[in-house]
Amino acid sequence: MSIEIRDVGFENIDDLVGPRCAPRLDDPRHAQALKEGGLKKKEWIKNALRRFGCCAKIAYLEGKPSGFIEFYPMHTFPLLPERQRRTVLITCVLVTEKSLRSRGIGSKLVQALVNDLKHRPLPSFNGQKAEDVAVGSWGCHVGLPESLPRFRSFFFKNGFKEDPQFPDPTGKGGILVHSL
Amino acid sequence: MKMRVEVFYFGCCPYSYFFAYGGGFLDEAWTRTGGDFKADLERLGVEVAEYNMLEHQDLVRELNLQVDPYNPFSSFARFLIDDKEVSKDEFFQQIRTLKRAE
Repeated sequence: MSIEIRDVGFENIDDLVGPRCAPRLDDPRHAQALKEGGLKKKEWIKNALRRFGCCAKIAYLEGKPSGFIEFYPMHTFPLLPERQRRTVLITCVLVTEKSLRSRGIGSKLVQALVNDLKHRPLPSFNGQKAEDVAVGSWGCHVGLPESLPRFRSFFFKNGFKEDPQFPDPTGKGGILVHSL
Repeated sequence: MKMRVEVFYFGCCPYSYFFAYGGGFLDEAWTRTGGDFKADLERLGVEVAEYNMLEHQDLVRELNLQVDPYNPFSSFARFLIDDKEVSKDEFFQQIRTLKRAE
């Protein structure tokens, strides 16, 4: 199984946005609002690439896009208090086809991000490298409690730890952090 | 009467936009009709304004919106009549009244 991880750039935005991002987008009966949401995402990704340089990585399995990880500097998000440490937030890790899950693609995406952030100076941090990468757990924040054990196990396996001190105005907790 | 809906979504997630318009993740009946809440609003003469919260942080803070910044699916919708925020129920009650008057 040949997996290649590539940064998202202007040339491969469509490999990130669209059916791979929201599998129901290609259902012709689906609500227009979701399709428009896909177009809004495409617009946003273009802006984000200009602002941040990089905001997502795509996993190509045998040359075909099969999953992605998306991430932004923490200060991009409204309502979060400032944090002393330079932090990148993961917003999504997704392997689109169920048959491809639990085959290490998600871990490869996370590891590629962690390794990249250890070496990449980021314009958002005035040319300095990130110090932490964090993710708000799906069980606590997205409202899918049944996914929490799998979510935690996945990120713990990839070197993340729960940090109860991490700023969380929602009070829901469960933020997982990986120091770089 | 000036009727306006303000929709706040996270531009990084198509589902955030979808939920902001009342789409239910598991609501197959709604999502499979191809129903478009936004088009319905516009047909009724409602002004619709959309804000990507990642690009309008100040507005999100100013309005103190109840969104979870750690949940990319989060969204928010405000319903305004003559610039005054009202509940969703009150907003649609007014729309129904207007329609009956027509």
